[in-house]
Amino acid sequence: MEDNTTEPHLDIPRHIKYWQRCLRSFLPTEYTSTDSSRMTLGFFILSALDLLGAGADTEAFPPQQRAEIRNWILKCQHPHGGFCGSPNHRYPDEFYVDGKGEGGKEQMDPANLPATFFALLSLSFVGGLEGFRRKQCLAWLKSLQRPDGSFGELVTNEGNIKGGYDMRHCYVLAAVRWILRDDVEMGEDDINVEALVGHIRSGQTYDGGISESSSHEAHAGYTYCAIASLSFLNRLPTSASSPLDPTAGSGLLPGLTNLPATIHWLVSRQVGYKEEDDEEEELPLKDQRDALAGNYNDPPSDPGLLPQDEEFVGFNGRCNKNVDTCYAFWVTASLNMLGEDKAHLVNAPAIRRFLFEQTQHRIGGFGKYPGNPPDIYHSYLGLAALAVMKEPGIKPLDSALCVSKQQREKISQLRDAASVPKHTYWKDGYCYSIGEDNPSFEEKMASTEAPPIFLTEAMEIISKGATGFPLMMTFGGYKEHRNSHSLVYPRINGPADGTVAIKVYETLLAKPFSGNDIGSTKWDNHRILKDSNQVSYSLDWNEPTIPIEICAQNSSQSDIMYIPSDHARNPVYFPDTVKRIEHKHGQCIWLKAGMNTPIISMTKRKIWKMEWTS
Amino acid sequence: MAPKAPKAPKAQPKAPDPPEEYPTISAKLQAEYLASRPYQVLKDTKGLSNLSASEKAAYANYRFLETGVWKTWGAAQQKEFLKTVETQKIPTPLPLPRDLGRDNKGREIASYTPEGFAQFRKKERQLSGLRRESARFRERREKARRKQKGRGIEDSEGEIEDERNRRKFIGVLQGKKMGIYEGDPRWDDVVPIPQDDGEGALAAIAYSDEYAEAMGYLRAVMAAKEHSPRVLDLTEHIISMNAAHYTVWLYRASTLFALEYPIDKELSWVNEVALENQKNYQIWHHRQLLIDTLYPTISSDPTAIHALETSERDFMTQMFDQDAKNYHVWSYRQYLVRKLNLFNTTELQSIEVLLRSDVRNNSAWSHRFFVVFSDPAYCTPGSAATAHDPRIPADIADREIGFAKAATFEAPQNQSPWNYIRGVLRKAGRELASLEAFAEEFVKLPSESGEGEDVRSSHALDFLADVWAEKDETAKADTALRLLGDKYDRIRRNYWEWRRGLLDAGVEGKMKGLSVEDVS
Repeated sequence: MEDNTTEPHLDIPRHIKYWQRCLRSFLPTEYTSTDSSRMTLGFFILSALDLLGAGADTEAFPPQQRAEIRNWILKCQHPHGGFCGSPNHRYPDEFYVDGKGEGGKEQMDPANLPATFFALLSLSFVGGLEGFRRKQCLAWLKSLQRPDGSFGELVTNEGNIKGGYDMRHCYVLAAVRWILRDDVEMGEDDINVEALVGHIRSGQTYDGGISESSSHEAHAGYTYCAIASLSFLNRLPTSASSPLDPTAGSGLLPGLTNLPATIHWLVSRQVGYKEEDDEEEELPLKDQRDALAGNYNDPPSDPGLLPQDEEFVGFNGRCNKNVDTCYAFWVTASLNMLGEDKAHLVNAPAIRRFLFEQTQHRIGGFGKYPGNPPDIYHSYLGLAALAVMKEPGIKPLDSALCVSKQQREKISQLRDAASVPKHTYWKDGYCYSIGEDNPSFEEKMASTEAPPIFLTEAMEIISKGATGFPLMMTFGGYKEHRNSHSLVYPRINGPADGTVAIKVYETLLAKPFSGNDIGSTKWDNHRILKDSNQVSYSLDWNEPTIPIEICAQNSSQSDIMYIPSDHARNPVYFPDTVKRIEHKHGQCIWLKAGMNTPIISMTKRKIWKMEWTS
Repeated sequence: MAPKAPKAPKAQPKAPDPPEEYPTISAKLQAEYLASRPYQVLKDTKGLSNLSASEKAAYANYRFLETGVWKTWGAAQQKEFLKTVETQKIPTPLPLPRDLGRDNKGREIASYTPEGFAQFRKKERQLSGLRRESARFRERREKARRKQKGRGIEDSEGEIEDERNRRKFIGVLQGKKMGIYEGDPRWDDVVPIPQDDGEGALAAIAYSDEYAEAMGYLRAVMAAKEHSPRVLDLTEHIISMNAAHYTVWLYRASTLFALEYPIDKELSWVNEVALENQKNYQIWHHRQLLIDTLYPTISSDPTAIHALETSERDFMTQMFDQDAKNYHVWSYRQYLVRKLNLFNTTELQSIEVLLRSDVRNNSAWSHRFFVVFSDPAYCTPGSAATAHDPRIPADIADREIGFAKAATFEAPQNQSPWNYIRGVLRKAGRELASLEAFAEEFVKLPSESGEGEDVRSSHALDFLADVWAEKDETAKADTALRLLGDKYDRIRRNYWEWRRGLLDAGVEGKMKGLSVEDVS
């Protein structure tokens, strides 16, 4: 094979187009079998666009879209920590409250470890970790560890840890722990790191690879997961020049039991791939696949030896298996984590040719096998593999976190920022969150307004300022929880001229303060309901009662008698309710308040912004 | 041209004019609208000034009628007016035809033919009748349910069947089939919890109606913690579409246990599903859970244990017929070996069968290593796969080396047995050099004049490079590594060159020192 002077290259715009299509349109029905991993697919989409320079921090994403994606991710967060892999696993909030007793937690469809990892990474692309329940999440992580050091993917209500014992869970656990606390060990609150390292060591096999867990066959995906876990736990050889283990003499077990064997096993995953003859191209895909096992077909003259150069080199995931795009990443990234120099041990030009000419698809993206249509998983890992091999046009990749180095740096900053204590101050009716490390911290805290008062005053201000159209208020839930606890609509009637319709959908949902700043959820609910009741009597409204829509069953409020329970069996959803009310009352002003949002901030803001004068 | 036949029956004066054919219902309604305003039409065509006096009077009365102004007059005047209207034969003007809207396929109903419209109306009436009946059925059952306070309610099979047919018919009439659960009266007591995706959804999937509906019902039964036979059907349905749903399996298992469902029955279902879908790996966790539950009930009965061992092995053989390297089946097999203590010859023989049909089946090699070197009869408990185990009997190590050797002769370029041999040597604490002569059967290095080179396995060359490095025969080791990179394994040239570099730096020996690690 003569050298091509024009090496294939990455057609960046075409790949961006592929990923934007994945972002913007519905995935085909065939993806239903991955419905429970939508968070993972979502991460691949956001990160691929980032690697290609068209990520959420560029103008390719309008701020509105960023905010919506953020809300969607946070909607998959569980009240007791962790995320689920898809909205299909998420129930309305009230299902997570256990009536049985103090501190009892109902997990419903429990949060999932891999989903939590991908949710955190995805959040880092669209704004950061505000709204993420860090403390609950850390406690939940600890509850996923088994006595043997391994981790499950979820823990049931009864406290049973479920899911495989395999390296994938070790990996996502170690990564989440790194994202949330770096490698700072936190005494009793931390997971048992030694047990985890022990579990990873026990998965190493006689041929140098790493398997699902002890006793199984070495597998490139699990090998990657184990090595990346060790990298997050700082248990890998760090110096490229010294193959000796850095933990020697420290009393800690080295993460890998046999580094040379592991390197040997990793480079052995390269398989020469011969292009099919033209006449064979008509063969169905399966035959083509079968033919792919390079050293399956020992040429008769020189059995299995490869004395000639291979034009294409792919990777298999296990000894004597077929090549597959994704293993190009699992293997090259593993080598890369073992030292920058180890990444050069592979046959990069032939691997590039394989990816570009065999599995890259003409519509963008990569397929699993040569000739396959692209799918999200293989498209991402094909791109990531090229990034490990420093392909021009792709951002440099961090092999362990499988995001751009730039993004990893951003995540570090988010973590550091999250660990600084935060305070809340008030200005112009808005509340702001500020970290103690902020240069203007002292100044802002000194200039804070008095904290807000609640509904009564707010309604008075509104009733003086706003006439001419009914005013509706909603509170008790968040926009992102479509079926909120309750939707209460005190109504001011005026001569409805129908000309003004103002909807305030911007809310303080960013929630720069957490629950403990304002008080417990329950307290707020009672306070709001009590206040609204008072308001209806103190103000002379046409309808002194406050109609209340319950948007879903809420057993914790069953003591409040004036809430009709009609909807308890038949949840209605927020947007539907809003529509219905507007249908009944015509155009309205909507003020939305989250569970923890003091009403005054909304109303004041409203009045000032619209410059209403009575 | 022949004159017309004298009898022209169609033109009989008794018969009314054949009704005019209207192309669409809207044309017909428009014509009727105009027909009810003859004087308006007359005025519009002739102009007001050209009307005769009586026509003008009739027109004026028609206007009174149209505007309804006469209703404000005195009673006597009204009476007089109505009498005039009657004598002048002024018809009551019909209201302007309303917008008929669109049908469920988005077609303008106005564009229907009059007959089509009549059929449409008939269908609508039928549909609303059926819907009313269906609603009554639901109400009746709901009432009964409340009376029974959640206990099962007795319905006559016939009534349910009728209702099911009714819903099918509704589906046909409305042109959109009802969902499986919506159409089944037995699920009427469950209010599905729809999925809330909202704005900004990532990786949104074009769910089929079938999937979306079933998931809504699954969420509802899980929320209600219902464990009933129909839940088994529902979970099976979900699993067929989304086997990776990580909680549906747990929910199915808890339902099975709550119902005290026979484990063997579930196992045969699991067999069927697994054979149908090789990629469904969650099913193997489920199977483990079933065996964990079954085992204590039969552990004291050797016959039952043996029967289980046989049936499980048979089933795995079926799975391996489709894919002998299915990772999840092998995971399960290792679990089973531990659970049922299958460290025995039958197990080894069964692996040998697989290796006979494909000596490159690395999964089978790995399994063999596990079975041989984790056997509690002679192994140190918890000894890692990569660690030396001093308790391994020499004859076991010899047997395994012999087994792997035979396989290398069969296919020298198959890496699996070469890896296996290294693993056995490490386990047994033997040096690689103990097999130098064996490996040399595949390799003849060239003489100084460059002749006599014969390499039949790159793995043998690789093995020898390590042997010679171990023995400090650096020059020979270097030759082996050079041959690998230059000739016999060129795709890994970078790696072999790197190894040569380590050899030069004297690190290679040290690295090897690391490889036999003492795990205390």
